[in-house]
Amino acid sequence: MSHIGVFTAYQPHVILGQEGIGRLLVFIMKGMLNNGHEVTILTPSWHRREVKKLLKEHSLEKRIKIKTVRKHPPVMIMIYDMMLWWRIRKAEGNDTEIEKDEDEDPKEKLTLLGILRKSTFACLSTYSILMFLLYAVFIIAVYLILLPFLLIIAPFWLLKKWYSYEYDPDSGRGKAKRYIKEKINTYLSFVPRNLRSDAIALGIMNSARSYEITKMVKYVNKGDIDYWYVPSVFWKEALKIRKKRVIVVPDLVYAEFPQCYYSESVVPMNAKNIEYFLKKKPPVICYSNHVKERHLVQLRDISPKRITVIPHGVVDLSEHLKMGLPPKEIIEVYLRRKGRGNVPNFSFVRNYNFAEGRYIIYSSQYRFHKNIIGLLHVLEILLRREHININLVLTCSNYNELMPELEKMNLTREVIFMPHVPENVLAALNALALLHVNPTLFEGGFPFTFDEAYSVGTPSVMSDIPVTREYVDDELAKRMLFDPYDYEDFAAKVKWALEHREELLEMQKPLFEKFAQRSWDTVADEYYKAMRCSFRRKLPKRKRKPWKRSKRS
Amino acid sequence: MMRKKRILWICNHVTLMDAEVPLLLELGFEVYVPKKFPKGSEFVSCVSKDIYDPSLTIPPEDLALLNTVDFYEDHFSDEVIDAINRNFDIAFCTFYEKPLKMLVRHFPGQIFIRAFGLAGKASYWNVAREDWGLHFLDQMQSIRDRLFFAMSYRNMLKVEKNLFRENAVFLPLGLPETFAQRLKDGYTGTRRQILFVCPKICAVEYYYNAYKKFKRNFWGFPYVIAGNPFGKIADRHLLGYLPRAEFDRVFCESRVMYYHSVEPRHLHYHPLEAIYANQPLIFMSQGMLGQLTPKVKYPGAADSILEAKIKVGRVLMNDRRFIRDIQESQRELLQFFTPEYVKSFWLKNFMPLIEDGAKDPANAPVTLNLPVKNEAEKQEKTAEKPAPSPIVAEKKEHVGLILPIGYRGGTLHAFLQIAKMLKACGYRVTIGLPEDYLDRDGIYYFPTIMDDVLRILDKDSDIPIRFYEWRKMSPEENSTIRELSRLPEIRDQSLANAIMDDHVNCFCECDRWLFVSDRFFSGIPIPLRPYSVVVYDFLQRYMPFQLLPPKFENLYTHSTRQAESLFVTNPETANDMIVYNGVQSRKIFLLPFEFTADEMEKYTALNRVPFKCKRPYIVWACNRGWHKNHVRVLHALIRYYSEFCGQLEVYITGVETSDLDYKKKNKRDRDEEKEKSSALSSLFGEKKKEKPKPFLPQHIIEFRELFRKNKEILKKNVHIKGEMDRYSYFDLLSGAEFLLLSSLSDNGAFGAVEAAWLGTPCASSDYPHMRYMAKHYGITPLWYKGEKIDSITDTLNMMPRCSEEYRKMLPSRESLEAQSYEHHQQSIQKTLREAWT
Repeated sequence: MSHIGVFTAYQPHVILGQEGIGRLLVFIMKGMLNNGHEVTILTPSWHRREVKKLLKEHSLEKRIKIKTVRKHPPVMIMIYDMMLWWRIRKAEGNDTEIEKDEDEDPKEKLTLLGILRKSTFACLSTYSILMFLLYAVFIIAVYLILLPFLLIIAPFWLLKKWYSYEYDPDSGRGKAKRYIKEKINTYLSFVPRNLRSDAIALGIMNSARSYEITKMVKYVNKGDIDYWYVPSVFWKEALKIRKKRVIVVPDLVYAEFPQCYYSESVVPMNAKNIEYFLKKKPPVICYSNHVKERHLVQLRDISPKRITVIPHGVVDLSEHLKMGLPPKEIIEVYLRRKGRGNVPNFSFVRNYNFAEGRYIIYSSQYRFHKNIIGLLHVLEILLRREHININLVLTCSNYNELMPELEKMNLTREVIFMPHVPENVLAALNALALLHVNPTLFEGGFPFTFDEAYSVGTPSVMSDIPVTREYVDDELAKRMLFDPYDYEDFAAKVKWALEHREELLEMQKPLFEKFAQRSWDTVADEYYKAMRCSFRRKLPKRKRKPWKRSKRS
Repeated sequence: MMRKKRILWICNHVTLMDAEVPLLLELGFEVYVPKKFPKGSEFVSCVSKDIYDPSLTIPPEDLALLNTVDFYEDHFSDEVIDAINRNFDIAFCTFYEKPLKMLVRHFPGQIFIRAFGLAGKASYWNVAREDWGLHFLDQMQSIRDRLFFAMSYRNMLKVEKNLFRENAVFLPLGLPETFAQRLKDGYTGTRRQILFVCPKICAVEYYYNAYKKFKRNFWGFPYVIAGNPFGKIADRHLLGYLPRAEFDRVFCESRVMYYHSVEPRHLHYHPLEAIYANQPLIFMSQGMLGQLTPKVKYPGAADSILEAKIKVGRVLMNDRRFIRDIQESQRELLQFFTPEYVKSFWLKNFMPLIEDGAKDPANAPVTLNLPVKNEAEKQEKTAEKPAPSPIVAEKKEHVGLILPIGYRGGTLHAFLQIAKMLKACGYRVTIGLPEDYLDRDGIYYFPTIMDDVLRILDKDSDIPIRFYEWRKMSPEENSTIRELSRLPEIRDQSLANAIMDDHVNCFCECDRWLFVSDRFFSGIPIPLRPYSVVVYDFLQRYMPFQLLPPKFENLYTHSTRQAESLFVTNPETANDMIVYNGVQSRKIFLLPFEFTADEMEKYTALNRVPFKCKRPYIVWACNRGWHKNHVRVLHALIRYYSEFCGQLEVYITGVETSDLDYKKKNKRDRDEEKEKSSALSSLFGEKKKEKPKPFLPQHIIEFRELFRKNKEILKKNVHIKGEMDRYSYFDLLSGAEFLLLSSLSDNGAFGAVEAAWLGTPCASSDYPHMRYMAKHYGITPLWYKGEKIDSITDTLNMMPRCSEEYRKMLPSRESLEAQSYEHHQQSIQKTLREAWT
């Protein structure tokens, strides 16, 4: 069959395994492989490791080739990586707990001071006068030799001692140490953890990226792979690919919600790329009719003929629960192995009994259009007004942005964050949840969350938005769809679903079966077909005849 | 003829069961094996078999009851414990917390702890001490004459300590007759690969490390890794879960098996299977297999990884002679697992222990090969044969009943009722009260506390009472005290710990502590004794603002998680605790409400005249807390009087309700005024000690403001009575049309029950806790939605009309009396028996 290339150019540190897009890529590539195609993934040099990890997680590393045009990333990125590694190592170094064997004696560190101290004591406790004198002379000699060194070390050592005495968290003393610590932290903090939030980093990144992407496009055009799949629209250079290609536009969320996204620093940069891209009006692929009609046709004037809609296949998490470990234990193993990591209030979460703690779940990152604040309001209504005893589990990793809101609403304990969970833990969390609630205002395709939850036996309620309406009929919509802008309706639907969980599960069965019929092989095949139909129209160079004066007879 | 002795055999491991239970049957016992066990990676090789049941002669109803019990995770109810005690003489138990604690505490017969060795130098004794508490060790010590440590390998003695060392019995592990029969001599070795068996990689850290180490060491060798990894792991060498036949095929085809274990005290079954299959086995000398014959080094043994690699390489290269050497030599290892070998030890070590009557002195030393101190003395002792030590649970323990904060009113009352009840149940009780009551500057200052306490304790006033103060531990002190008392170290240093400093012994003369309320402001109590907590409510959960900083919340949570058991009086509170604190439901036990009809009966006997008022009135019983919903109710009252021209008067009463009166000056303001006047004198005097100033919460200020704005309407109708003495309160209540309870959430209000006794109906906000309480006492309150002002106004409007109707629905005094706390002694005793293991 054919050889298909996948063109990716994500930023460094985009951990694909944790993003929806990474999983989507894997599903589609697996589908292509199952259909008998050969797949190569083309990636920037800085992203090779992440892509390899992603493939390895899904045991695809033997079947899919990774190709980069450069052997190593730009020097600046390498330096940044090292600094970041150092910073993270410092911050998370002693998190993983290793059970210590009690009988094992802790090894005493051989330090210079330790040896000196010991030998001095030995000298002072001897019985023999001669030995005492000899020792004394020897020790004094040693001290004299070491004196200059000691003099150099002494101030530092004294300072350290002083701080450690000074520092006492209870009494509020130790300001000096805290001050210095803070200072050091501010100096270190120039190493941004998140590249998106730093203007200089973003600038460097962008120039490096456009250089490398241009190289990549050249490689594509020269190479012998005929079909190219470009999973995102961020890379305007992809337009120059002169092979059979499909380019996917997942959504233009910032165009629908400009009022929410004007303040984010990364949006203008991406938006500029995308707008440039769309101006050329290339044939594109999207996941739902809503994106096609509303975003691309209405908001960005692309002709409907040039848009193909390929909906997602089914996401089935049930295989993770068939491994033999019950969901409760999967979570326990994960939390035990993870260490403190980045789970907020970890001491509380670590021993939290997920199997019996009644909770609803929403697995998504926190973005403006995800309406998580609305979900919090509804949680408050359910808990405090309706007296329904539930918690909420969120999987977003940018929980810090939500914290002030939570504190204001006194929901810090009711909302449990489980950021960056691997797929099996996600399956376990979904399986133990009472209900999956998806309050989003917009989604590019029918949300994955429904299949994820249903495949492990948890029903969902979702917001009533065009993409969900495309699939849910009116009868079911009365029960499982709510108006995300109306908290009362929202709360009422969630309440009903909590009380009639089994009934809802039964009602959603046909819907899930409908999705289940659509496998990723079919989806991959549709992509392939779209690729085959796509062509780059080469306009023949029109040769014009030079103007000649007509001869008049 | 005497009946055969019966054995309760709590261990479901399939291979072990197939080997040991038939052996016990052969030795002349009846054996019962549990039928239920939890799901999980720990129980993966467990099965339930009922083929041994026909041999049992226990009553069928007992058998049916026992078959429904999960011996590993369930609560042991009273009936189950009795059934076990009635029917069994000996118990074998694997080293698992729940069943072992139950047996040690309740079982009157001999108990054998079946142990199969731990990794490295870890010992069972240490595990028991660190994870199960010192209290449990004491309990084991008290039945040391009938508790035995049945070790499977002799070298476990090297690490075991104390009781487990002294009472150790060597009962070797056998292999069932059917063991590895399918594999018997099935080795073909056609595939040039190493077989490495390593299950549970994703579930257990030990196996994960073994897997990693193997991969690192045998990099470049051809190998497959068998065993169910319990998760997804990207490795093409992993075979994952295979059906039995497929697994056997891979097993026999692989050229060599490598057994990684260097644990001297634990052995897996798969190397033995390999020996049965005649497959060459390369194992480590430091491991159990290498240690079986200390004087001989077999060809398959390797002292180091390098040697192992060389040997594995030789087998892979098909060195025939070497393979034959290994195959022939390793068969000798099986002698330690033959039925004859095993049985001889059981006969020698096990049978004399359980035989009663005169013993043959020759067979007496059964425990171990330790030098016996005084042979003659020991023989004398055995000849006397003292009665077996009594059941631990029957010894009535000394309970330290402790109030963590200087509560008054309901909680203090409940606390003292619990003290009386514990005494009635036969426990020795010591009461601990916080010194908050005596602290002149504190908000809990209440100098006449002792009079109240003694009056309520009444005829039980001989219970010793001590005052204590919470002493916060610094991290160093904390780790020192834990080290000294051999408690496990704490991992989270951010959580404060505290002890109750009573200037005597920190209540350590008690066997256990029972805290009434979970408000440990000063820190988590250090578990020098096992403790339980009675938890009443989770008000902080239902407030729209943070009542306490998360730091305190974590203290409460961790102190409940650390507790041995938790008590609630309302199942809804139990639900709150499960969801909010994340504790396991099996730790939580339900006790009855602490309502006593005593006081009410006394009041009724006095035949006092109810309070008289010209107009009909209602009583609004509340306190200062936010959850009493003051502002909404006041809004409702204002609307009731202004829009609906309401006729009912309202009397507000309760602890600290006088603060609601806007005319009353804030204590702080008064203090400030005082300070101003004395400012001049203090200029010359010494610095005053700063007092913590009680301040008014925001909702009270709001209430006062609202009251003052609408004082024209409210002045005539709403009267703030403040805190009243009990009998005047009852007078007031018995004349009222309705009792208004305004809580949005709590554990349920006893006010409703008292009102019912006095013939007054009540109106209450609708929340699950109160619903349960009302159902429990058979009361029908007039429900309203406390979150909506309209609903409260409507209720006020309804009150005069439906007063009679609701009065008729009230339960009789007899039925309320029947629910009185004293009548629940039986059930409480039962609950405590289940809870305190």
